[in-house]
Amino acid sequence: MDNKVNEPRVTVEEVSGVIEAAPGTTIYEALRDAALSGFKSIVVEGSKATVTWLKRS
Amino acid sequence: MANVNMTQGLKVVGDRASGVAGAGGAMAGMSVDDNASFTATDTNAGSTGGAPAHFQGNALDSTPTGPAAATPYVVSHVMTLTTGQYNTFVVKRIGLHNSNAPGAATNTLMFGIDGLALTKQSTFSLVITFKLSYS
Repeated sequence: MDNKVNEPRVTVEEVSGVIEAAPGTTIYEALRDAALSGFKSIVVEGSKATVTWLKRS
Repeated sequence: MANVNMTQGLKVVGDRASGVAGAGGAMAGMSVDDNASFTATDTNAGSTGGAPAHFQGNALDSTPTGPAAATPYVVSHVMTLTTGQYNTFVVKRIGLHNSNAPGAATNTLMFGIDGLALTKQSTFSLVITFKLSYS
């Protein structure tokens, strides 16, 4: 008999942020201003940058 | 960087799921501040480190919607810091609250993540997505 029991749990799965540059500002200027650190990844597309701080899967 | 499940948050989730009388409200707001860390026994943003020097609490952009049943079941909570909010201050912590008007001293802190560093400026808005997984 498989005695493994699924343990119900609540987990913080992912926390991310999308930085969108204000009109008249480039995303690179915005990222410079943000002076980011302590993140896992960053993806820049157009005027937005998606910063991932935590991702489990 | 660490994520923290506040014991208060776990109680609210469990009470709501089991229909316990007087269960706390659902996740409805999010906050950012510049205290260093969270602790599992925190009930508000000032529980660890005292009242934050800088704090911004907003309602979620919209009521979370539930995806199709899955394992794990993941619900997203979204909040926007506008170009006019929290400027020149450092985002070090993000908190998820069961209030649509979270304050630094309101006992509505349910889950959180700390150890971040992002200086908010007027040159950008920041849309934060906080996902909870139920498994």
